[in-house]
Amino acid sequence: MKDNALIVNSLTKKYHDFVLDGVSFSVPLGTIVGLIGENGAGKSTTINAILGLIKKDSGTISIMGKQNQEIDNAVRNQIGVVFDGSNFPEGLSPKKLNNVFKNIYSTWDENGYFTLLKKLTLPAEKKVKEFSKGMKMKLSIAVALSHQSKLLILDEATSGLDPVARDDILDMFLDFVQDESNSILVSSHITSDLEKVADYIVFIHNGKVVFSKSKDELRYKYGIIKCGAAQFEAIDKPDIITYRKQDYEWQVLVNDKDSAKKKYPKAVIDPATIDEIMLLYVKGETK
Amino acid sequence: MKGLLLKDFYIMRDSSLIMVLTLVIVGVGLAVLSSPWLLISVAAVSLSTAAVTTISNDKITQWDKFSATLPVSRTQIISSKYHMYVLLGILGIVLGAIISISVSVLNHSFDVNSLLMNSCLAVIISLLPGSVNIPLSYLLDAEKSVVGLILSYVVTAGAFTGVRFLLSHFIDMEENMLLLYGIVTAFSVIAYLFSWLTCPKMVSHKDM
Repeated sequence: MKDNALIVNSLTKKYHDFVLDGVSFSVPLGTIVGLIGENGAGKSTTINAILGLIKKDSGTISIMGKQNQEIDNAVRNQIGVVFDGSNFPEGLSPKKLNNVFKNIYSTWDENGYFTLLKKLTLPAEKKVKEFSKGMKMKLSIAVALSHQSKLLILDEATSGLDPVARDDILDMFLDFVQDESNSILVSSHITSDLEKVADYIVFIHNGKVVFSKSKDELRYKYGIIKCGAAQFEAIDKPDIITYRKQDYEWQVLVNDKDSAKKKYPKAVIDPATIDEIMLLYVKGETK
Repeated sequence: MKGLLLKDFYIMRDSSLIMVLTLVIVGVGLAVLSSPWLLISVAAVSLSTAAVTTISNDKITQWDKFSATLPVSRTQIISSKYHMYVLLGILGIVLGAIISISVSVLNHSFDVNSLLMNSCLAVIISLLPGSVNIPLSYLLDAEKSVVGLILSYVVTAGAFTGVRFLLSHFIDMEENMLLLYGIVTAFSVIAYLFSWLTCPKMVSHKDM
């Protein structure tokens, strides 16, 4: 418990056309956890339930060691939240937002906020509506980092941004977790971003957690066997996590590429990217 | 709470020039064409309605979702709108009254009865619609907020007519207009307080 900033256990939320079904994962202190999945998989529903924006049907959520009703203002002071798009009234400037937030967050760091604005080259007097999407996102992150947050929760924070802005933001995430008491939960369908910064990947598909693993395990252990029909038939069923037929090639996801290389020496086995793993889970079949 | 009110104040300050200009034009028009006392109601309604528009503005900018993650309860967030609505309504009545009294003194048409009746009317047509419009603004989508606004005035007109119809069985209305206004004012205050007490509880349980 003490080593996790966030623990989600058997989280369930039912809608008429969608069920978030017993989602469980944790965010260890000092780490970045990436929540991945296709659109509509349940990432935002999970985040909304964690933040108390929707009422869960069952399950427990523990933030900084506090559960459900215990998640009070003291805990909320330590959570920085960033949603996709603009989070703030468009007619306000960052300077006015400072006046608003210093009257809301008991831990608001005014000097830290203006220093961050300068560092991110965000004009303090300009209205939010005049900001580009990247600038708005940087502003949201500046606010999230200016009240001594210990946990950042970001929902699609990098989507729709150009590669330079995304890279800047990912650098900020990495800076934040340099302090080992800080943690980040970030949902994204841009898996390449998470490949750069995340320590753990939680993959949600159709409202269920398919896997929750360390990124290194996925990158260095998982592999894709690319083969023809005959070779595919020769692969033992227990070795196949999922497979997909593309034109004349079979792609087979395996969870231990080194042992697969030994077992099938004639097969071509490539390392799997998170994107490929996600695609094979979503579009692939099980033997 | 202070931060939330400040945020709404900043938003409304942006459109205050248009609001003041409208009040001046309408005020002068009313003073010349009809009764300057109506300015009390116009000012109260214009200012208090501006507080309701911040609710749909919050939805459009997603501030409603973001603010629910702040270290303030959703009950407090909704309550801040009721606070703002009342504060602006009072400000409107005071401003409207000052201008109306000044104009009527200059016209030599000042009378306390008109001041009281129009002040009551201002309270009625701001608080009664507000008690309907604020919860509906939370419960309906931002695009449908105008439905809430229309409905709130339909309810107000209905309530006023209903009370008048009921009282007409017991007293002569033409002779006791001030009493009628007083009763409907009291009813408006109660309706607003009831809405203030129930809406935050009702809306805070709603999924965002």
